[in-house]
Amino acid sequence: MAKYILKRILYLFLTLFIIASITFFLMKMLPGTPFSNQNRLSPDQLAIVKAQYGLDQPIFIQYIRYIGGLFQGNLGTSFQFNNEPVTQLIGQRLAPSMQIGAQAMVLGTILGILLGAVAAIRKNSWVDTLATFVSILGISIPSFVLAVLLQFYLAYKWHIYPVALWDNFQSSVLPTIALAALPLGNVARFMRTEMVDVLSSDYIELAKSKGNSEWQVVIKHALRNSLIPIVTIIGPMAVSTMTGSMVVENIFSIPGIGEQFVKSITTNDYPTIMGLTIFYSFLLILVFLVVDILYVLIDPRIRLGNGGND
Amino acid sequence: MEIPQIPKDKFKFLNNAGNKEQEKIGTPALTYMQDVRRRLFKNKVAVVCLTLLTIIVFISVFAPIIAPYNPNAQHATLSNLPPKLGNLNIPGFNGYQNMGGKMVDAYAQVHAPKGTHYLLGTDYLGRDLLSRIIYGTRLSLIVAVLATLVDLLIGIPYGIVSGWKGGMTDNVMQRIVEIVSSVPNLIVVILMMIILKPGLISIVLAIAITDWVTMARLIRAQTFQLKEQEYVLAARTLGESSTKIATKHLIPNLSSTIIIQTMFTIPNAIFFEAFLSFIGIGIPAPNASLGTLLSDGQKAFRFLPYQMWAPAIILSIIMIATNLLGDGLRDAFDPQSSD
Amino acid sequence: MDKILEVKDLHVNFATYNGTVQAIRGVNFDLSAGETLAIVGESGSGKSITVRSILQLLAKNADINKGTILYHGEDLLKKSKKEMDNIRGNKISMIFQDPMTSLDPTMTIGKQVAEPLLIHNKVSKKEALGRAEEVLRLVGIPNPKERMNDYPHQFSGGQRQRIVIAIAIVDYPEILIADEPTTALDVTVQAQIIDLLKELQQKIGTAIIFITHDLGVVAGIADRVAVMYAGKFVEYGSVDEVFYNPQHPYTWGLLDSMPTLDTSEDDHLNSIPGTPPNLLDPPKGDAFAPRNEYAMQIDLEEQPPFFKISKTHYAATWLLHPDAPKVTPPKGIQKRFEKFKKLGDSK
Repeated sequence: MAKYILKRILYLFLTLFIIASITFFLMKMLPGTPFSNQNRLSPDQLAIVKAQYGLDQPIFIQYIRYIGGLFQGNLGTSFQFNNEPVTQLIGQRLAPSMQIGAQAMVLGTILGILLGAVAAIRKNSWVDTLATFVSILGISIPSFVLAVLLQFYLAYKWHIYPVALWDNFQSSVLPTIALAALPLGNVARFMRTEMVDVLSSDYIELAKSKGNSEWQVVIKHALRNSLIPIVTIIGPMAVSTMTGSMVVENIFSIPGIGEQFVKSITTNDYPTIMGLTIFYSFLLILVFLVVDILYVLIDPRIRLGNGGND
Repeated sequence: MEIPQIPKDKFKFLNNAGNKEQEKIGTPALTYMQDVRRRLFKNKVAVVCLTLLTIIVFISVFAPIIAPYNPNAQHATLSNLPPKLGNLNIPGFNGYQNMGGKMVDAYAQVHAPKGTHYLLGTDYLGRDLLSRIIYGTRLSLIVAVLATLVDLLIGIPYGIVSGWKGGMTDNVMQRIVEIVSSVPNLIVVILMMIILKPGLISIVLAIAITDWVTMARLIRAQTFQLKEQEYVLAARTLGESSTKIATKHLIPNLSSTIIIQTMFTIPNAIFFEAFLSFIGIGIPAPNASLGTLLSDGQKAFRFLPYQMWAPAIILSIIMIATNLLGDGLRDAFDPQSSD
Repeated sequence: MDKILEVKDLHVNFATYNGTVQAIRGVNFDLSAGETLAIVGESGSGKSITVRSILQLLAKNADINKGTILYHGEDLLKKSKKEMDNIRGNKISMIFQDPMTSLDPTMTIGKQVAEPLLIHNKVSKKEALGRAEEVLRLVGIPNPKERMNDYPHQFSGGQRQRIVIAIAIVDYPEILIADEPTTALDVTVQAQIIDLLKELQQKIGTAIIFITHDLGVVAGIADRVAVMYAGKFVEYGSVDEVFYNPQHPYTWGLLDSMPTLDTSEDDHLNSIPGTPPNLLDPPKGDAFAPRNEYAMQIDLEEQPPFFKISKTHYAATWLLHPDAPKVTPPKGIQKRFEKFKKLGDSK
């Protein structure tokens, strides 16, 4: 187990290194720099600014410097935004993104599990149809459309929540709902399929033949067995939540890293784009790693996989 | 026990021995595809979705004929007009607009020529929204279809080769797949969009470059299984060429996987296009796509909600219909999965 | 003997997309304390559905639309859900066909075996686990104390079936229903499981209803045998009567398709031609008639009643009607008749 984790961590850094390298050279291939957009700088001024950012060096030297910096946790310096180090930019903006991201994933997962489980238990009833309908809506309606609608009705028209503000929990409700819809839909669908499968399995019948009531069967046997595979969709869920957060943060003016990323793209702030790309990749690969380890820990079939007598 | 009285002649033997009738199979066998089609058309939800999508595709294909106006023609004087449906007085579609608490005929205010009416209103440049939505849907669908095609063109051969060759080739190909898939989709797409010039081709490439991995994985796994099937072994023993085996035996058997996966690739591509255009790095102005329309609509949503509702509804309908049709197809191809 | 279970005129229908399937069409039998009744039939004959009706473990689209199932004189079909829960796993328990899939893959076997005790008795977890360990030892799991904390995938198929049996008997049920408990196992393991069931029956005195499609297994365990076809019993009697004095042509067919020690190289095994009838639209007369070499006109028109052969032996075939012509059964069956005579003489 320790060996496996170690190997995975090594892979994590290898992948990050590849991503960082590719990102770096892609960015260097770009014809313009943020300064050339502004057209206000004289050639002399441009040279000074370039030297200031180390852009006058040969590409290879720049690359070595960049990668070297990465190892020290330095993601470079932003061209815009007051020349702040990118790490600092991320650090300041990480908390709000994490908060709504985590809230959305937890909310979506819990509701999705409930919805999917109820749909499976009452298969082919109106509850099932309703649950299927809700989960299809969650999957199909893009988070930014949902965010705009929520903002308009719940904030702007009915004044239940703030329109675009970031201070207390109250202000995180709407973005959380907008982001939770997709995980909710995905988890509900996944849960329903798993649970229908489990409920028709032989060991559930045996559990019934023991004298368990319908609910005892669900709680003691069906839930646990259908919940384990849910772990596998946490990774993709993190990816989609991250995607959604970029626009949702923008719509609700949340000072998070998603909003920062979109801002950097529209202002050609390459160091920030690169830094955030590497940071996002790191975050997601880490999530996938943790999920894989978690799966091994909670599924006895994998944990003790080599102890079988068959 | 009472023994029933039975007429003697009833105890005649029927001479069943050697009767071969009973070995006959009663109903004619349906081919697999016939069976799939029957199951699909029995699924009401899938039929409704199929119909909706057919209508949307039809309108997109014939957009130049169907769209009432040029989608990019600007009329500075006729900007931000609310929807108006002929001279019918339907609230919300009568050209009236709330201005300072009073309903005002917006068309009369800007002195629009008599008989002017925009079914879904106009945008801030006075462009007909209906025409823009028709063209926008067309563009979004083109992106989705092209991305899916590229996806298929890379994913299927990649998966087949990887699965068929096995061994070292497979190993190397799978490592590549692993690296590509360990980078978050969206980041690759965004990086591609920054590097390439904004436009249709860039979006298609950016989406396809990440999407083919899923297809390749599925196809590889299936090819692995098919390779061991007796009929494929037989074809190999008989010396059929690899290309022939691939087209004659593999592709037909992979078709269900391909069709189902395609139904999930299309909404994904539509979403990414909308997403990229929404954050401003997608389809460049003045062309409309569902994403740019949503982005424009969002800016004006607070005061002119109709400008966002229409593209939002169309986008949602396409997404819902493709997802549900995908479910329907999966159930039709694999009846066990549904119950 | 004391009759603990009486099934009377049981009818079960299944609602399907294509219509109503009349899976069980009037089944009657009884069970005495401590005895073993085997129900034999090919797949789809309704044997599994018959026994599942007793525990009401049928699929949701099933409907027991007629009949009574009397357990100590009380109709199980009239019991509430809660009352049935109290009977399952306690008074009547069940062993399933496939040990590879019958155990919860994410629960230790100790907990799984102890579960019925915790449901039905006021015992502490510790006591229940102690009992579970005892029973695991009884069914022949080596080192039960250590293995209690293992998961199902760590056991072989035969061991898993022993665990399933342990779950079924842990609360000393009065009736044990074994639904093809040996079908999924290797032949050598099959024999071990049969021996185990016999041994346990002696130790705890449970009655067993044994479902199988394999007549060869029946001889070793059953006191009485019932042969089932297309949702009905066609013949039932003591093991000797059904094996050596069979009267129904379907029983002849089944016995004739089974190799015995006497089967010589020249004899070929016969199969029964055709397939069972479609129970969406069951035939008016004898369901076996289309496949029956000895079918008569009356078989197509009317269902045969049970004719009594001895106090314990009945068969539903018109061939037993006094007016029916005498037929010569297949050679293998004639040999069996001879054996039956000898059995009778020796008694």
